[in-house]
Amino acid sequence: MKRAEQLEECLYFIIILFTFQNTQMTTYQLRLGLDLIENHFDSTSKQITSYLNRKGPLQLGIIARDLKLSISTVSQCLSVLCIHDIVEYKQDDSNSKRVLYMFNVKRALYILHYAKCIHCAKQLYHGTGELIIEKLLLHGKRQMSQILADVYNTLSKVFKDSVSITSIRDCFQHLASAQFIQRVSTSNQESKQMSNMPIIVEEAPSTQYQVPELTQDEVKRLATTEPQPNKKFKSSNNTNSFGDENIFWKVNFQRFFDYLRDQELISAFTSRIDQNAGEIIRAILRLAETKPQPNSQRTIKLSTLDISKSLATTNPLSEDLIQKYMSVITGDVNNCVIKVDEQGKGSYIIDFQLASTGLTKAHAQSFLKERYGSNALRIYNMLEERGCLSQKQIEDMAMISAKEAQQYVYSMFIDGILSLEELSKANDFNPMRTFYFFRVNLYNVVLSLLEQCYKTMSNLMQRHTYETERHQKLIDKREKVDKIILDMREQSVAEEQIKEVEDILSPAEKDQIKKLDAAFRKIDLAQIQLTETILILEIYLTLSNSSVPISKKTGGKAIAAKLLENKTQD
Amino acid sequence: MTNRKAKSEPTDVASLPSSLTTDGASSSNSTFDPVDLESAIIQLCLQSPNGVSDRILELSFPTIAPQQRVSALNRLLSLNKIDLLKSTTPEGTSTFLCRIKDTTSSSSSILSGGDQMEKAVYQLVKESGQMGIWMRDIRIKTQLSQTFLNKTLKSLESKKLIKAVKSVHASKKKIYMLFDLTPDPSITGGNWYFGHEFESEFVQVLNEHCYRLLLDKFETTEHVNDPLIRKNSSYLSSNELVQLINESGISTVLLTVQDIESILYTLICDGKVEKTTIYSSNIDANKQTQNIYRAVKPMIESAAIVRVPCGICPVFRDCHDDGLITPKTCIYLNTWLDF
Repeated sequence: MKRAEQLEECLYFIIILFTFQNTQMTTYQLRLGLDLIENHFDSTSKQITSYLNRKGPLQLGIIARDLKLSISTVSQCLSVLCIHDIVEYKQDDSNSKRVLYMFNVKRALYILHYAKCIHCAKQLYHGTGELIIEKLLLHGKRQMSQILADVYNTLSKVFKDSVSITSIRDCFQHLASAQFIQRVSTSNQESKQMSNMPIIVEEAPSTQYQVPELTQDEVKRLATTEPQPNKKFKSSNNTNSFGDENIFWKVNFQRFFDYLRDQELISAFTSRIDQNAGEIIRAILRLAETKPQPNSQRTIKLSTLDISKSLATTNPLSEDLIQKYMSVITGDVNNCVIKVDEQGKGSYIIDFQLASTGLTKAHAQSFLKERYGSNALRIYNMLEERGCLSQKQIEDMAMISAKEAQQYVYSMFIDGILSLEELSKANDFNPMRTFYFFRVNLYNVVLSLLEQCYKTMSNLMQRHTYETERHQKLIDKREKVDKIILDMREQSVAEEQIKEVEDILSPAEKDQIKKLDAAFRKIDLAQIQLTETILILEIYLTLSNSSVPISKKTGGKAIAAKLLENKTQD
Repeated sequence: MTNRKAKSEPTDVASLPSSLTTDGASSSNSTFDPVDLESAIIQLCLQSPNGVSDRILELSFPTIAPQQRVSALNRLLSLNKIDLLKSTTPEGTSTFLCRIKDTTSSSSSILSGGDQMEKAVYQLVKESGQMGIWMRDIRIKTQLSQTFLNKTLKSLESKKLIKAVKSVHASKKKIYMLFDLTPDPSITGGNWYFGHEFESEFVQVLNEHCYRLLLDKFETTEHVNDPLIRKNSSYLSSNELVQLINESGISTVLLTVQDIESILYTLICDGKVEKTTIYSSNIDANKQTQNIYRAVKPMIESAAIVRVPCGICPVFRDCHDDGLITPKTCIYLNTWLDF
């Protein structure tokens, strides 16, 4: 009996360990995710998600009871979070009607990238695209007719008559065909007998990006209807139907992330070689976009002729020159562009795993250089190239005095950048007869760097909130004054009176506000830039998760196993 | 056969090649002059600097009685012209080796007055060459007592025959070598050490200068349109770099290619330089490959995280929501945000 209990306990621990290794969510990531939810939704949502995170999947009733909230509040929060995919739900098992809710931290952290996605849409599809993505991000999932009406209303306020529903719809079509948005539909037929839980299904690839047609009549109707901002998920208004009640749209984050990664890659090639090289990479990536590949780790094969044709309109380069560029490109940025064939004057693919490793290395190296000094970077690179080195070898090869080298090595070792390997002559591990080797592992560096990124992000948010709270009075006052001035301007009151109102704020207060604005701008900018690094590191982790052994001790075994696996595949 | 041939011209022994001499530089003439025998032995020894064993002597002069040979050897020994060394034959029996004394070296004449111990120690030190020999090793090999060895070494040092060199790796380890030899770079640490100190400043200056040279080369080619030519013409070989640096007079000592290549390796690790190896025919015959280097631009200006104080914060690990170090009152953030 006791044995069984022990066994159960052991199993429990193993399961816990396993889940921890799989999710790899650190406290900082979690904390940031919850803070983002609070900022983006409300504090009740934060409370619920934090509780869900602690307890695992729970039922609605239990959440409400434990948190001492009313069922209606909790269900409202959960439904909003569910629409945004931040909380997932599933039926407990096929026989019971219990619905369990789960918190998805990873998806919550996507909120960080909202600003970047909107910016992307703006660059590619101008103001209309920006608005469509913004509305979609705001609402999570929505029908096309709703969004079109919403966007039309916003735009017509600014541009008056120059907007048309069809142009917005075209833009929507472009976004869908470029796969920046994808459609999902609810299917509650199967589960109807058990509960009325709607199941969101991603549609088949063939229809996933198909935009429903709108008749002329419907277009007219859309332009005149006021959008219903609080339209409920299930309520269908038959009198005002556009035939797409069951077709919802959501932002395809993966596509945006791929696009942002491509931008980083282009800029890397531009700064390493030159503008033309960047353009060639852009052309390759754009051509690859049109023909999606099931194995997304590399692009399809593209020939020099294809690239030349694609460049002809924007940046005509002779085939000869492109060939020359390609030979330079293949030797740069971690050799991520690979020549695979001579077909069509040379065919190339881009390996995203190599590319992301190259970009990640650049970020990690920049971090090491600034955080520990350029000599530390030298030591790191040396270890990466040579595998493992003893303290003495490091000193000699890095050409740094022994004392300094020790300082760099130890400070990096403490922060987990370097790892130590002991090799004893005897099995007593007597320090006198043991060799100590240092090693580096990019994967571990990325993990610790990513944690630092998330904590920094969290710190910046905390500081932002703190400053807002501290200067709340001033901010309120300024808002009031601004509003009064705006009203007065609309009523075209004399300038002198406006000036008088402006003077409600003392010069000292105005100075303070200026400083505060500058500080907030700085924080915002830093946060947006930080998301770029986070994205690159996250992509690296997802791409290498499959290939890098998680545990250090079994490194040799795992590599051997992998080699074996490769052999059998061959 | 050769015996007979040699017999006919016994006086030409000295001019004969060694193969002939060892085989047949013998004489059946019983009236062999002892002085002639001595000079014949010396000739024999001169031709084989590793020493001539007793057996070879016996074969070389088969007609000469052993007593006569021994007396000749004794005479040569007393004249300090040869050395007698103990050695072991492949069969395991011990035998003697006659070896010619180094008469060209001035030291032998100085040593001639010294005692046997000094000679033995001197010999060991001399054999060690540029690498030098550790005092412990001398003691083990000569089996002299510590005090006696110290005395011997001191006396040799005072005669300026040997010198003590300190190794950079172990400052307490004294290494002895002949007075007029320059120690091996592995002992002194090469050009990067001045006495015992590692000259990190010198390395730093060279590091920067190398990078400067490569960057200049890189910038001169930047306007070239053809990417391949641009890349290839931005390379400088390590030989060219050594020449440029030695001409510039930055270093007072003449730097070798190895020196500069180790400097360039640090630049590669700094991520500033790229190395390629090419095959070339116009350099010296024994070295087919040549290392060429070029400056490279970084992939990204700087990671976003280091633009925020938190990225390079020294107390980042101690930073918490509350307490002394917290983002709310952080002084680094204060200066950054201009509060």
